Amino acid sequence: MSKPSLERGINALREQIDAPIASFFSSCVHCGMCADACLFHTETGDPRYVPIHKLEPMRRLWEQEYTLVGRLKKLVGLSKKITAEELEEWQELVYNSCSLCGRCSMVCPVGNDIVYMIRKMREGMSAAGYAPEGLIGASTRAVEIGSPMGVTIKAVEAQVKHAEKDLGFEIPMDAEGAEYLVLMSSMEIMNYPEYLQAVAKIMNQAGKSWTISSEAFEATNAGIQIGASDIARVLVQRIVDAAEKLKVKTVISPECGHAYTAIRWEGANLVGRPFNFKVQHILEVLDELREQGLLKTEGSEASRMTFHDPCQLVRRGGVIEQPRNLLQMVASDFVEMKDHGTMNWCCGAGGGVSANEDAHELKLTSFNRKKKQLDELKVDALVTACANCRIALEEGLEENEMDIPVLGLTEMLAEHLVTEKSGKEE
Amino acid sequence: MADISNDATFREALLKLEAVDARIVGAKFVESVAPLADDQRLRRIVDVASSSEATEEELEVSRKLAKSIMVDTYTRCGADGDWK
Repeated sequence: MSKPSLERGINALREQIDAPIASFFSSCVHCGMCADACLFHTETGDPRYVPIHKLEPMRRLWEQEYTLVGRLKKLVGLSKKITAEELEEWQELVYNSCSLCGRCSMVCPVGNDIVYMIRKMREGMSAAGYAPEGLIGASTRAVEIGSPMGVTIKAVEAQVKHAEKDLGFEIPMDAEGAEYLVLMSSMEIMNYPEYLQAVAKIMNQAGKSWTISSEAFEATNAGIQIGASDIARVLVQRIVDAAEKLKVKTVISPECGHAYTAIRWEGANLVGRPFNFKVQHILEVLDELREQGLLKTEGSEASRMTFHDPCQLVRRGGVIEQPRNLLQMVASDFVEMKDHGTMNWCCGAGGGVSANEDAHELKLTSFNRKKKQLDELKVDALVTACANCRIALEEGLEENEMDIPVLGLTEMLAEHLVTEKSGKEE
Repeated sequence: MADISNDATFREALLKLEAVDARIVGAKFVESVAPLADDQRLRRIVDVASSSEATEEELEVSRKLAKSIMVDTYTRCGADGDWK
């Protein structure tokens, strides 16, 4: 990415002002309701973190160039010019203090999709060179290596071999005609290899055919996070090509929030045509297997547990009941967090915040909201279904000296699968 | 002592161990790979975990320290893990 420049910044932001953006800016009634929905604002009290304020340079540009009053003000020298210093300042606001969680969009009384606006602003900022180094690096690695974290196919194959040794059966690679293509996030490959084993055990029990593609194993999409549609398109296309080559019926997005948004909700628009396969989050697939009687578990966790809803699953994807149905199978003392489901509070690390070193302190401060939610419940364990949430939660709990284990739901279910041995004992 | 020549037999043997012995075996494994992590805190954990006379309190402190190291060493989403 080239050096930032004011001229490019203004041009790039101008290019992002489309009909929805114009209508959203003109509809804003300045009520401030989005302020109380944003955990970066509620946990710091800093007025710069009010969601609509994070769009101020783009709003001024819209006003100055696309409204009569704004044009007249500009003509008589009454409008404030956008400066390079402002764009630098707003880089922090638009990337560090926004996890694209979407709570602000949910509460806006006039229906402004503020996350859409932030993403359009990120598109302009990144095109102009105003983007965090961490996200630039992740995007570059995603395109060049196939993983934002530098995981190569060799490393995946090593993990697969390790899992096969543990499981005692083969994990299918590049199996044409399989029903499911299983994607992973690099986080799962590096930090939570148990996920792959859990999926393998569940598919094995359910008798479903599945595969991993050596050409597209990565589900995450750094292009969506940084705001670069061209990169997002390349990454989605890679998955589409692999799915079509292997002729799978369904692509499974892993325990990751934004990967699901990228491939399920934006993928077809990014590549410019409908998919000829289905895309589901792993929890949707597991819940279908449960409904079909193909997911058989035994025993349950007696400890008091709650579920952290990943924002992209509930607010963008509507995956709300599925994790609860699944938890019912294996958790006997399940309790809900206040504001669970569509209005759950973010872990603070989504939308590229976790890849952005500059946002680290703010991320930990914003975790205070989750701490308050957990303090109210006094749970023994916290379950979630996003590897990024999982690390952010573990980090926040550690920082606050809260000794609560964080579990992945897919792994938890796999731990309780009825095995051949236990089945015979019944 | 029975010969163990494969992974499956090793796992079975581990499962048959008492909790204290399993912990000591685990500590010995960690000791052999600890230099890769370059974290001095691991030394203290391994010392406690290797001892059959470790108290509940010592074990609890070590567990919390181990968890802290684990969280510290996670690779964050989007960070370069250099996994070639």
